[in-house]
Amino acid sequence: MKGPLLFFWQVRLIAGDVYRAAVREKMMYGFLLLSFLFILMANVPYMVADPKVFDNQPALTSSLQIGFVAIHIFVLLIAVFVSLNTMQSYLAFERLVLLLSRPVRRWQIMAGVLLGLYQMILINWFLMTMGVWLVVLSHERMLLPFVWSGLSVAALLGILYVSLVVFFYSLMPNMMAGVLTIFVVIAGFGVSSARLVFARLGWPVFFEKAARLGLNALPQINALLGISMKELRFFHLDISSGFYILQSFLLIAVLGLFSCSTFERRSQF
Amino acid sequence: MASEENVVLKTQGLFKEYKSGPVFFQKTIPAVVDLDMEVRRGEVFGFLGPNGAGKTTTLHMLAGISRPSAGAIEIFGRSFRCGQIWPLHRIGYVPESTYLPGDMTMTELLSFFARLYGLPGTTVRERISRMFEMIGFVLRERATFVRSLSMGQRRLLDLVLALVHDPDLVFFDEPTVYLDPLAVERFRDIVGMLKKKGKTVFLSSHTLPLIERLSDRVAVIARGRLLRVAPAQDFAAEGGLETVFLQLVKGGA
Repeated sequence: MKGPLLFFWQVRLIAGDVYRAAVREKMMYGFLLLSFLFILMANVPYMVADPKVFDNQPALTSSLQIGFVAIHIFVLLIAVFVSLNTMQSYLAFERLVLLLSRPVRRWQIMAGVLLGLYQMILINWFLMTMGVWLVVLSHERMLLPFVWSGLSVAALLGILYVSLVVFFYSLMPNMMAGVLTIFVVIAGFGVSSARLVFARLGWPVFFEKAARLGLNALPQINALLGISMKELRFFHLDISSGFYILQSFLLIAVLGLFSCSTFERRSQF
Repeated sequence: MASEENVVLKTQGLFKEYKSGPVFFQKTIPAVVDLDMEVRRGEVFGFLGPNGAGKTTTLHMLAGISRPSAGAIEIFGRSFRCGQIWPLHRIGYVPESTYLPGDMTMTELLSFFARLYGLPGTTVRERISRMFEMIGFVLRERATFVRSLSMGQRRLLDLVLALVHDPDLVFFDEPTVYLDPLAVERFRDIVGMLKKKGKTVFLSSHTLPLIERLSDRVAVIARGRLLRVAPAQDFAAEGGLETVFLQLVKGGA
C-alpha cells in the first residue's frame, strides 16, 4: 500500500486504536450506566398515567423529555471526560514516541484521535437513543421514527463537544481543555440572548456585524436544542434548522483542521 | 572517512537546546552541541555516554521525534528534517522507555504497528510469527495482554516492535534495561543477526561491556559534546573501553 491510500489507512488504523482505548475507559461505562438509569425513568409518565402530574402533556411527550435531558447531559459528560482521559493516555509523550518514529505524519495522529473519539461518542449516542426509543416503543406500539431524527441533534452536539475538547487539548494538553470546553458550551447557551442585547444596543453597523460574526463562531447550543425539541414535537418552535446545522458542521471542520495543524507544529518537541 | 554511498547517517553541527525555568526567567540549556558524526552501512555503531550526556536527545532528533535547534541530518544520502516521513519506512527505533498499552495483546500490538507500514495481511502474520520466534515467546504467550508481562518481556516486545517492518537502520536506546542475562544474550544474537543481514545498528547505551562487545566503532559523548569516535579495537589497544571512557569523561569535566 502506498501514497494517499496508505495515508487514509494509517488514519483509520489510529482511529480504531483510539476508539479501542476510549471504550476501555471504565469512566465511560459509569456514565453509560447512569444514563440508562436516567432513561429508565422515561417509563414513569406511562406508569403514573395521570397527565396532570406532567402539565397535562401526553405521556409520550413527557417520556421523550426525560430521555432528551438524559441524552444531552450524558453526551456532554462522556464527550468531555472520556475524550480528555483517552487523550491524556494516548498522547502521553512515552506513547507518542512509538507513533512519531513511524512513517506517520503528526496531523494523521490527530485526525485519527478525532475520528476515534467521534466513533466512541456516536456509539454512546446510539445506545442511549436506542434506550429511549425502546421505552417509548414498548408503550406506544408504534415505530416513531421522529425520535431518532429529533435525538440525532445530540449526536451532532456530541461530535461538536469532542471537537472542542480536542481543539483545546491541542493548545493546552491538560484538564483545562475540559474546563474551556464547558465554558464555550455555556457561552453557546447565551448566544441567542446576546444577539438580542446587541440588536438593542444601537451600535454602528460595523460593530453590530462584527458582534454577529463573533457570535456565529460560537456553537449555537440553544438553537440546536430548539431544533431537537421541534423535531421531537415538544413545542411548535419557529426555527429553521439548515443554518444552525450547517454552522455546526463548519465549526467541527474548522476545529478539526486547527487541531491537526496545531498538533503538527507543537509536537515537534 | 567512508565513501559517501557507504554512509547511512551523517550529522553536521547538530545542536539542541531546551528552555528551562519559570516563564519570564527561562534559561536555555544545551543538550547536544555541534555533533558531527557518520555511521557506515552495515556497522554496529556504539554511542556511549554517561547519564545526561545527550544520547536520547540525539536519538530523538535522528528518529524524527524532535526538531534540532541547529545543524543538519542526512539519512541514506538525503537531507532529513523533523516532520518528514520518507526515511522512517527504513528506520526502526527502540526508545529508552515506552508506555506500551496494557489493554492490548502482544499480537494486537505487533499487528497494529506492522499494519501502520501498509504491509499486507499475510506479510504481517508472517513477520509477527518471526518476531515472536526471535524473542523466544511461545505460541500460548502471544495472546497475553501487555499488562501481564514482566518489565523484561515488555522490553523484548519493544525490541521487536522496531524490527517488525525489517528496517535497514535500527536505533537502540538503552536496549538492555530490565533484561536478565539470558535476554541480554538473546539481544546480542539479534544484533548479530541484523549485522549478518547487512543492517546498520546504532546502539546507544551507558553499559560498557555491551558496547565493547557488540560495536565496530564507538563514539563517546559527554555533556552534549562528542569526545571521540574510533574503531572498538583502538579503545581495546589503549587499555580497554572503560579506561578510555573514564579518562575522556573525567578529562572533559
